[in-house]
Amino acid sequence: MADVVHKEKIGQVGSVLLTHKRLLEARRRISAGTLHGQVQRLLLLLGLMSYGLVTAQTRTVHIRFAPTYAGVPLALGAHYSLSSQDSVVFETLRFYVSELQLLHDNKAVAAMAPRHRLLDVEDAATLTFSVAVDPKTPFNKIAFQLGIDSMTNSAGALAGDLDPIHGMYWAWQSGYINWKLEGRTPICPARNHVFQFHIGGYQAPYNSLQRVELAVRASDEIVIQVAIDRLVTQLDLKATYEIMRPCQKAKELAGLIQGIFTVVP
Amino acid sequence: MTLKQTQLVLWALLSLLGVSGGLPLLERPAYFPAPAYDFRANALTKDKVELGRVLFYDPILSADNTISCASCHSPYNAFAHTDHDLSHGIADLIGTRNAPALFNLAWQPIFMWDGAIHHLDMQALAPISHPREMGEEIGHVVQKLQAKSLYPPLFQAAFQDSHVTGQHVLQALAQFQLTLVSCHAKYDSVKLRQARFTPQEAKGYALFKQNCNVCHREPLFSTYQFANNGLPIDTTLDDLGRYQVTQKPADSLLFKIPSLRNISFTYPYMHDGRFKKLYQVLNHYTSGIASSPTLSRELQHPIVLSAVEKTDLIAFLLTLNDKAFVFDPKHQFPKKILNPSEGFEK
Repeated sequence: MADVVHKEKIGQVGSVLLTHKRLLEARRRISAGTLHGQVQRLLLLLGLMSYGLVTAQTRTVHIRFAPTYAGVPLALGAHYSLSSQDSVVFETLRFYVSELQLLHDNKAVAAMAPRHRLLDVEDAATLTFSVAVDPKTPFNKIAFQLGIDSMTNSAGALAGDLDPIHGMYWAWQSGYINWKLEGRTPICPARNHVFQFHIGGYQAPYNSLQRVELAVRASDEIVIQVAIDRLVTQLDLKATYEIMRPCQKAKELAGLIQGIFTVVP
Repeated sequence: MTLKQTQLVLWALLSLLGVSGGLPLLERPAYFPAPAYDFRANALTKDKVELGRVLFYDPILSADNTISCASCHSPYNAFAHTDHDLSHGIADLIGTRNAPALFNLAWQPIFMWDGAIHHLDMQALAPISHPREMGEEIGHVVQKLQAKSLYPPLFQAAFQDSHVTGQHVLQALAQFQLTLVSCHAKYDSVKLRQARFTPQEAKGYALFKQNCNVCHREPLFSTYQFANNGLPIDTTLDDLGRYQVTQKPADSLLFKIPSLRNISFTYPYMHDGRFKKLYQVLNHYTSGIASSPTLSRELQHPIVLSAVEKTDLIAFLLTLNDKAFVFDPKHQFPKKILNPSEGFEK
């Protein structure tokens, strides 16, 4: 039964992605800033208002992922202190969030569409999205997968956020990179003091897919903090600075990453 | 159901079967097993196959626009690369393995000598990205294709979307390669009772079934599993094969078993192209096996073949050559579309 439902969901991905693409295109056209664009913007606003009137029954919950370092928003290229002597700079942070759901007493009441999203610190728009919930239905938990499941990994060439053009698919060995974190710190002995963590692997014994479950209050905005400082201070960057294939170390690191997600109260 | 809906359902069913214009895009002999490729997610259409063929022959896929897929996978060599033991990429860079022949890929569950790639759609990413092969990046390939006036209409025709995506590039390349079906060798005619083996070929066939068929299983002439066939390790390469993917000691020195179809066209042989001649391959199996902990069970005891038997076996192996496949114009350079005089737009 579960399998059947899963297959149906896969069938829906295409149409959802298409809708997403149309929305993006609409956004692009509107941002053109011409008179034509302004008329379109007005029309869209009116459209959204009427949509709001018709569908007053839907509650929109905004979800935002907030990568931070020592409590402040993480900025790529900025220097942060790793210890009292050493600094650290981050250059890339990208990861997949899949199958995000809001739950009430462990029963799903709302789900993110599309099923997989690529979150990229370089593009703030990717860190925020919304989920529609029935206003009468409460929820007290948010749950998601960190990465791409084995079925999606084995489904061939996919579109949208799963398109391999995003640099989150290994070329030399099949599989998605679930989490990519790159940066520099003087203590790292690699060339140019670079550290690279490309964490993936969907097959036993090195399956690095992680599930995150967090208690939430039923509010209209959920902010999930991703405390990168908590991750890098648990690592010995003198010894561990390059993990770029499915292996035991990658699996262990995925476990650590799972622990840095918290809901901002 | 309205007429339009009925037409739509019929069209969907036909595309599932890979039927277009009455002729199947995928040849499927009755004596072949069920394909491993899942056509539901990427049903063959004439326009997608044609786009795939153009991409396969266009060097735009490489970093300096000099190397196409066909550079190392030539149709006249059953899509292998004659005279090159190891793959030959951009700027005369040499890789670490022999470019394998491409045919009957719909029946292969896993790709590359070490099985690193698990889906045909994703296979092209490996040579495109390899610094010693095409040295490119799929995102940049997409940009180059979008900018070359030839492509947006081809993508429009194939995918009803002129916007080039990585997904569509990979699916089109897979579609063309799926149509590379080799099933018109003399062996196939014998199988269909349209021809007979000569007495020598028949003797060779009996020897084949006795000594080779466990790994090079008919009718595809491979199980597409992995095996250590007793090649002494080449210390200039130190290639441990499947182990490099799985990290399991039991997979050390295992390589994917290649098909024996089109054997005359696909030399040199083995993952590192170490043998130029077929008789060298047979001599390896009769007297060259190097023992190691992962040596294939079938090769623990040497294969014994007299000189006459070797000749008979080779006579049978030559019945696996499929000239109709090798010279099939529908698999060759798309002259009409990919005119060599067309310049590359930077």
